[in-house]
Amino acid sequence: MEEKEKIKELLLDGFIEVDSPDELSYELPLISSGILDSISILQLIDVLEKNFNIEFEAHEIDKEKFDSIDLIYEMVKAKMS
Amino acid sequence: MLFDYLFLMVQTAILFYVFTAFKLERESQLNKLLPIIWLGLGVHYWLPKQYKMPFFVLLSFASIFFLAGLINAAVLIAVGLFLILLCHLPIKYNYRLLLISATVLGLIMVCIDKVYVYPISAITTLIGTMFLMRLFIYVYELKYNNSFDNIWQRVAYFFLLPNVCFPLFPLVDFKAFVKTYYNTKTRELHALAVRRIFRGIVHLITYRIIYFFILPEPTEIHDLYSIIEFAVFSYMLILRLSGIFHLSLGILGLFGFNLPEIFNNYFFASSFNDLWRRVNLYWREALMKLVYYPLYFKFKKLNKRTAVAISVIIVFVFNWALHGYQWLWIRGSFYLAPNDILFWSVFGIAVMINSVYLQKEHQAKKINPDTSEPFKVVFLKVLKPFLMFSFMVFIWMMWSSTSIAEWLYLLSFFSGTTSEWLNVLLGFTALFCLSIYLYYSYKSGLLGRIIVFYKKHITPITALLTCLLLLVSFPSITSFIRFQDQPVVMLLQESEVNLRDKKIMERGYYQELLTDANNPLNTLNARLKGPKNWNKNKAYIKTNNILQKEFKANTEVIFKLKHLSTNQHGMRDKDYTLQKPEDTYRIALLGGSYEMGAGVGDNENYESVAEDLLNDHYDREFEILNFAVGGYHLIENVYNTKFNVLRFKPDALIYTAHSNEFYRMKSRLIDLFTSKVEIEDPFLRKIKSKSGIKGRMCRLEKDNRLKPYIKSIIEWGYKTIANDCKTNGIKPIWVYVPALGDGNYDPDFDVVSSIAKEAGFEIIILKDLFKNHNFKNLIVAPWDYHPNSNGHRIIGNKLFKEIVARQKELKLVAWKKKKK
Repeated sequence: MEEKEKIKELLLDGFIEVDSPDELSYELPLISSGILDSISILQLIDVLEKNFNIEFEAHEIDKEKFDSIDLIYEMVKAKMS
Repeated sequence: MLFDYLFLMVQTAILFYVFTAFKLERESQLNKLLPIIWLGLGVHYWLPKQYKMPFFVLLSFASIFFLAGLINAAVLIAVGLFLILLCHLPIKYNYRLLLISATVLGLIMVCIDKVYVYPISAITTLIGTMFLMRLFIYVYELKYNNSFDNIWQRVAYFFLLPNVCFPLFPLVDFKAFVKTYYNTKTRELHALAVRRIFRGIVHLITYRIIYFFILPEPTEIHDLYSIIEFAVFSYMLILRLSGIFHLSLGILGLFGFNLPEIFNNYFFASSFNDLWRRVNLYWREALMKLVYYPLYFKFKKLNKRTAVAISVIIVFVFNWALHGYQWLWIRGSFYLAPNDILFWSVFGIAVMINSVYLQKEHQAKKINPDTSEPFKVVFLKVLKPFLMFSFMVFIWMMWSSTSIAEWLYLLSFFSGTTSEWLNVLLGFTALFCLSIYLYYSYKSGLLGRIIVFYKKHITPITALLTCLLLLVSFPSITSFIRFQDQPVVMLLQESEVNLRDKKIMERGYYQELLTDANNPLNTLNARLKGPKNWNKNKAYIKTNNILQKEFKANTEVIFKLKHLSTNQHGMRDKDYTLQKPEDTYRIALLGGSYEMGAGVGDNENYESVAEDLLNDHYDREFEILNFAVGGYHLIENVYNTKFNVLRFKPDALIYTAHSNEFYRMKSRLIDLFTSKVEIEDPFLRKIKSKSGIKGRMCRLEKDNRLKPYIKSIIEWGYKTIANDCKTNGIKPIWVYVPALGDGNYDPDFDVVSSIAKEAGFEIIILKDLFKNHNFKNLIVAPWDYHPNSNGHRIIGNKLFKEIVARQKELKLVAWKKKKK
């Protein structure tokens, strides 16, 4: 859960603007709702790689996997393990 | 559930009826397939889920058999299954790739006619459209996401039901195809499918309205207003592509494929990246997956911005190459045009700059943006799509021009007068203000409320609009909406291609008509391609005079797969003596490829048919001497009359005219004036000098420069022939033979026929000649609209009757009928 919160923090730091952090729920659709675009995804990957010490490969870029904090967390968790 | 079923069946039946009533995309033959799709849907709906996918595959196969015929369909399915099999061979991935590449290469060789493999050569377009793009995605997914185990899904992915009708088809992603299959409630899925079909039909009808009633022909452009009209509506022709794609996705949706949207209000794009994200999303996604991401990950260690820049540029190189590759499968040659390269370069560089900028200046997005936006923000939000649209209009015009020279020539019309520009700016400002109003209305006014209401009641509203569309499709109900005194809906429902299409398709008919327009959508007619050298006639020899070519005497060749022989005088005809035999009525026939009989065997052309009938009818000899040569038009026939025909001392001379004489005349003159042939006739020399035509000019400019002189040239030509005839005691006859495929549409008929009448010709009009006949039974081949032997028989019979009906005028009254 710590990682999930961290991901949320990273998103709030330059990717998503909110009036209150509660607006960004873990299930909120990020891509299908247009909050993140393909450029943001690539930038987010950089941030995730740096912060979690993981590496992504090109074929892993799947928009569906970045569509919510929950999904991003699942992916990061799988990479870390 | 029964209600849902009936609701779906009725809605699809109405939409399919409307599609058929408007004769939309008739060339695609989807109208023939729609009853099968509808019946298939009726069965598919009730099937248990495990049988739905196999049923879809079998329905696709049945459709292919139905449209492509037994052998073609069997070969297509066999080749397709073989390709899928290659992807799954139990050998290393790289070896499989090698085998697939070799097979694709082999198929390309067949496609470009380097190798002829009987059953495959006929279906390379279908193989291309079904496999050769989607195969890239499929092979990619096999490597990285090989977790799909349903064999029917794999087969269905390639044999997508309506694909057989459309060479240009959405580049569906395999993963999305699998994942979105029945991924939501059936009712919602079907409602979306119906909406997509509805939207597709509306796009296609809108496209027709633009094409038939709004878009001016390039030759009609004469000022700032007409060039703006042309540029804007040329860009809007993309509606045809989006219409086909929406329709295709809608049909797939009926069978459970809940595929994502493919177009997203592309006319409202606010930047290059935005446009790239909105137009043909499937294509973009495929490029991102196969090219962009792998490149970006390769280069990102260098520098992020450099990685983005390099990746975007390479993506656009691939984009261009893939368009060429797609063209290759459809047209049989790689598409290499400077304006195409320039278009993708400009677009690519613009997206690259935009991407690098966004990478650098990326801003966080607000989850719940403020509803109250300052006017400056609204102003920019509305202005950006305006500017983007305007820019796209310019480069789209370049892309769809036949050459860069033509595009530059078209741009010259933008140098309007100050008052024209003021009017344009005024119009632009008014439109902009209206857009601002609509934006506010959308955000917090009436428009917004309408949209909310529409979204809330989207299914019943779609049903209502579908019924409205049905009503509109009955011309009797909408007969009060008229254009040039004809009901608009009836005009829209005519499947006749417009003049420009026709000119493009008549290439086999008239040798040097316009080259294909570069609009990629023209590839939809690519199945109309004939064998190589189809138009090459070895019986011709070049001449240095105005004729430029004539038949060799006493020669025999095979032309368009038919035997063609010439007599001692270089006519495609039986032998005649120079001296007219006694008791013989001799007619000289002047004309082009129709009269010469392009695509039919010796003695099968209408001249031979009419001659035989006349000889059967009268007890004296009739000779119709065929002076026609493919490509000859008025100028050649003026020369031909003077230097060839008169020597044979005919009693009558038939000059034949076809549909669109002005256009044909213009094309022939352009060829002549830009050739090295010395023009001796003072009248023609004067026209050449006054028009200022130069070889380096684009076709359109040459067309426009000649336009003012065409009528006077036709008048001169007709008068010259008629006077030559009168001086030599020959009865001049003007025979109008409509060109096949033209229907009754001939904008030039009235003018040309009155010129002929004034010149002193006896007029014979063979209009409505083919009215009650099936067009396809009368043409030489789908890619060649010359009449076949059936067509010639019809013309010959009618000509014979018309000659007999003019016994008095032709001085045949004294001739007796043969006793039978």
